[in-house]
Amino acid sequence: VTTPAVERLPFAFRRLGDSPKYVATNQGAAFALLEDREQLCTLIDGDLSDLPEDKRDELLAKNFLAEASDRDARVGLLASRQATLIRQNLVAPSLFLIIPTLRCDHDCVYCQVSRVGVERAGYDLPLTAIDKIIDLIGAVQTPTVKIEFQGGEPLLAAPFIQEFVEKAGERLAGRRFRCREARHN
Amino acid sequence: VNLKKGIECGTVCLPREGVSETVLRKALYWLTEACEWELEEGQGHWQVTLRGGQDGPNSCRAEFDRLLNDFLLRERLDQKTGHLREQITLAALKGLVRDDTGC
Repeated sequence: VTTPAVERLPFAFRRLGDSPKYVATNQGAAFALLEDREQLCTLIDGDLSDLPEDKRDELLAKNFLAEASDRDARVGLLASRQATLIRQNLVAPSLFLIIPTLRCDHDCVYCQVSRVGVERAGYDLPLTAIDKIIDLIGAVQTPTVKIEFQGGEPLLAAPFIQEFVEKAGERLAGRRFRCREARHN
Repeated sequence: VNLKKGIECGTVCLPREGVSETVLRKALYWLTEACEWELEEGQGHWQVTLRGGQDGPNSCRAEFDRLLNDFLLRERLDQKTGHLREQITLAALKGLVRDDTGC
């Protein structure tokens, strides 16, 4: 029995911390673990017949690979799944990120977000924005809502957060909602 | 970037033919803040000077090498599959528009 030739479909990858393993993800929201860099290189640039048979089967099943005969069908399937994911996020988001301030009093080495000095003016959301934001969240038809305050350092805008949480408690009554702050260390 | 502070980890010369500016800048962008870098453009090569590092002078170089190799692999993957990624994204967006407008 001859194994049909396979070809690559697009994916993204990153190394898992200090582990030799890599995780690959694709536009259909599937993921696969690659044992080591050699396996990753084979998948990207090598002879695909060198992949272990079970890994090859897994990558085929998750649409990281395609056979020439079914490539177009798999591309269509990935497009359909990606459209579904986008639609879910457009129509019914359940996570809302609010950035009440871009000011920050920390200098974390890992930080990649926009931030300005703690004394800068003009980088805070006004309290008058709270009602409009809650209106927007209230219009989304999801039973559960998670609200996350990010920054900058969100606790520099503690009065905003306090008023927001109090008003949300009143106006989103009947909905399950949870608030958290993404604090910096 | 202030190169007067920190410990020098060495200078890396990379052929411009083998390493695109996009790949190089992506690798440098994702270096930790503990690593300071300076990029110079030479005749036919890039010259990267690295300093600092939280775990000794070689840690910046090791991290830079890893990032650079990963972004080189991503560039190669994109050369092979980028057209399919675009095809999938376009089909997904067209599907959304079709559902929204009924056309």
